[in-house]
Amino acid sequence: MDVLNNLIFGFGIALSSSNLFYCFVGMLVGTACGVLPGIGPVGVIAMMLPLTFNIDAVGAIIMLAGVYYGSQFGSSTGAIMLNVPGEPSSVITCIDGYQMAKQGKGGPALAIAAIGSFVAGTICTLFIALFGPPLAELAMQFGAPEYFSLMLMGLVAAAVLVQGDMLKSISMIFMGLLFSMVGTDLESGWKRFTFDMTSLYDGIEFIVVAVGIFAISEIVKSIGTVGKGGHVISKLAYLWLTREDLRRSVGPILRGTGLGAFLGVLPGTGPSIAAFSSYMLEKKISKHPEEFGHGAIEGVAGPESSNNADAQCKFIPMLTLGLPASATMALMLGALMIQGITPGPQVMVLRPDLFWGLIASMWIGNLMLLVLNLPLIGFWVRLLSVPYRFLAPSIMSLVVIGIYSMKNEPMDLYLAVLFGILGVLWQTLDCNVVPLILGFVLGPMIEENLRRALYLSHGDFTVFFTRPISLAFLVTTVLILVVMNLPKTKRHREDITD
Amino acid sequence: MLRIILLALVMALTNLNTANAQDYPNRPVRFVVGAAAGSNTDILARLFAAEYQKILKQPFVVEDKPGAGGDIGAEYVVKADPDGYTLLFDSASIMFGNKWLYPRTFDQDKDLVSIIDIPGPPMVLLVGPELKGKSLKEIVAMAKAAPQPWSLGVATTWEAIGYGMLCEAVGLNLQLTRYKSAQQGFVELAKGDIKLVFSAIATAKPMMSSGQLIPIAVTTAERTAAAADISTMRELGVDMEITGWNGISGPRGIQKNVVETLNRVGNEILKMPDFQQKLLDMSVDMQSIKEVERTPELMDKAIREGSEAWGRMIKRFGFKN
Amino acid sequence: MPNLKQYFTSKDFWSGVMFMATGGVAIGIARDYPLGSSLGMGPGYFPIALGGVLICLGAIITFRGSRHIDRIEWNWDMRALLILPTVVIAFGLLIGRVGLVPSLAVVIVGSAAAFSKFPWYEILLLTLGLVFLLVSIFVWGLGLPHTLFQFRFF
Repeated sequence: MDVLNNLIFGFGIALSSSNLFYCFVGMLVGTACGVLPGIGPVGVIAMMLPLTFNIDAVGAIIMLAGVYYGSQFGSSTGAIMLNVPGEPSSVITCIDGYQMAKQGKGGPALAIAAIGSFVAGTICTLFIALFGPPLAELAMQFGAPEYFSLMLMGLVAAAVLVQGDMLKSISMIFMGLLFSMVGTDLESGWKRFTFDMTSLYDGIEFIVVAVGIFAISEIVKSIGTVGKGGHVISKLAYLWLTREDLRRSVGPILRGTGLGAFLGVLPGTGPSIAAFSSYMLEKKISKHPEEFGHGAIEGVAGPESSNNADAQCKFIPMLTLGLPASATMALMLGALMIQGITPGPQVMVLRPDLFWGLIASMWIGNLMLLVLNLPLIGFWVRLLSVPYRFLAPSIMSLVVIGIYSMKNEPMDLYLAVLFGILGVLWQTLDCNVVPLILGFVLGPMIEENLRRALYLSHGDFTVFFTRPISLAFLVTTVLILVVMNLPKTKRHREDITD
Repeated sequence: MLRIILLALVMALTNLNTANAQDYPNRPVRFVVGAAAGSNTDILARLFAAEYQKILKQPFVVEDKPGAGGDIGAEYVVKADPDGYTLLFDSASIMFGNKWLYPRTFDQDKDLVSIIDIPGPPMVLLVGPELKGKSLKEIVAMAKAAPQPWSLGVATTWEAIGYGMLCEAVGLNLQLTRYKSAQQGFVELAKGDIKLVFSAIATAKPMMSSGQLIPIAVTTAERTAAAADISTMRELGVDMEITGWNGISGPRGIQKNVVETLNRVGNEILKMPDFQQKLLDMSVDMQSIKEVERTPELMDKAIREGSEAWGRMIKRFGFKN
Repeated sequence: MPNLKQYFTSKDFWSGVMFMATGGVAIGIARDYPLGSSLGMGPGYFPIALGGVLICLGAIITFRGSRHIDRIEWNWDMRALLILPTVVIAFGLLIGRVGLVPSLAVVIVGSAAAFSKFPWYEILLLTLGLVFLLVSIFVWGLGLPHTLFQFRFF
């Protein structure tokens, strides 16, 4: 078995004492920065980059990769415990994770996030080892029409799967799309909705929107609860997962991993899309979709597995094609280049130590995350028993300094306030924010890819139907619409609505 | 606990306004980059920052402020204290192009003080595998004969200028396609959705080495040491030349001896063989600045000439951004 | 049609109005952006189309009849709703003028003021502790270039 030999070779490298140390440091720093809102892996990796100039390439990439997946992991903690997503990939975890924490089930939520991430990490390690390089070819099949059709499918799925009032959900999608238009238009350079403020030229940061909608409006709400003599966080229900919790999570974890791995290979999809897809899928196939939004464990297990799978598989296009999917990946690419290594298909031949060492270290890092974080759950849960009047100012100051630290830009704070107030308004009016957030994330990609696809085909709309992958997504989109409007499912939907 | 806090407060307070130019630098210095983390400019800035830090024994922190073609970062530095602790890492897009493209609240000639200019990356024209083995002449002829104009992908203003120059030099009508990152363009180039891409060599290297992208020519005056086997545009009979450019500036009012210190150390760094090797690993050779002592005056001249030339071209090509 | 008072205080009515207003404002701002053609969609194409759809959807939601009329229940704490946004904005205005430490203190004391019962010595201790903790994490630990104190009003 070639792959087995390669993996053993990789573990030999990753388990050297210096590489274990780099992996540990990276993962630790990453987890910490993941918990802090606004402090993303980009900033931290950028800060650590000069440190890596003086260590060997394998150690450098192992450490930086540790920061990356460590931060994905850490951000789920803030999302679940405080409703403050540290990174975009955990925004969706807020929805059910924080509800679980409020019901006194923060322990199981954190545990399933950790376990789901670990399972996803393990499967993806094997997956990359077995199919990594051929899968990279998949990335090369996706041009503008393919990405457009994929995103369109995501939007349509969101519109029909979200429970509650469908018309309002669709409107919220459009609202999200509209907010995502703020900023400089890529194609023409027009400044849209910027009111001549340079701070808006680059658009609105996703994390600012999420922190506003989730964290700020939640604190306002909770202070109200406390003022009326109520409790924000219920007494601890139980600390560890029950058998039932585990049973319910197996499917979501596996499906989430699959989705995340597929989307992870495509460099054109952002980190939060995998989590969203998993959430929508779980809600669709769940026997009790009405629990989603009120603390369904599937809504934590699926997305958290999915975003970790996505994060790991993003290494495939970066290492084998030199295609970075995000600024974080671009920095790692830069780190390799400074070391004199050019990523590409030949990297496995020329530097097998780097390729297999990194893959093995990712699994080791995931194991470290699990071992370190499970005992910490007790600590995190106890943190929530602090009276809310201490908690609220703490969360507020953390959110404010975090958002400001992103770009040292006061405008981001004002935007967070705006979205906090809008969040209050939307809750009052019963408008679901999930479709809005999805619209916001997908908006720029949809527009960019649609425009480019038409531009390149000289205005010919058939380009979406003549390319097989694009066509497949469109057919699936139509199928989703048809299935959802069949009399039986429709009735089911309405039952849930009422 | 309280004592620690008080101590910290005292320390922080005494740190205020002690910016004495004699012992510059005595606290961390910021390099503001008007580009995203992981971009070519960002990584170059980090390489320089690391060397400055080694020589001047103070942290040099790189801060990315992307947006508005780099002007958000530039404006930030213009408004900063001219104490020498906030510096701008310039790119050709900021100093040559943005003046003509963005509404500005500052005047780059008055509000930014040149310190040292440093080499920038060479640009390369790439095609997909379907045009493998074709010469530049054949490619141009094919593009002219095509029923619909071919698309050329770019990611920054710098590359868009290259597009304009090429169209003008060979008398071609190409469609300009903009990407957020050069790599997006690479995928569509390899698939054949677009036919040509201009990019910095470093970014294209991974896919050049795998044969998914074919380099046709570099746009530098002479062949670059980073890829000596690629001919220049001039060698292939196309009259165009454009090179990357970078530099370091400070806000107006920055003290003279601070500029001198930074310039001296910068020249020292540029002469280090192992640093030149690091630049070469990023596909940047020393060609664009020649091997002369770089002075602020030379940098001023480079900016003046560069921005005049770009201004004329931007007008001629009708770019809005 | 149910009685008008019920209608004008319903969630549906106001959601629809909100969607229509958003769409209208978007179109109003974007009306000068070039529309382009389907070959080269201009920067105005998407925003205006989205705004138009939002107006239509909003109109349907507003006028779709009695079935969906739920009354709005406003049970937000007005004090918190006023104070929290104010302190965040205050931080944004202060940070460039007085530095990180005083700005953070304003946020913490301000958020604490949203609670009706909060002894002053607890607020003081919380402020000192939190400021120290956050400064150690963000400035000393992560090395972010925030100025702790400064005095620059202009």
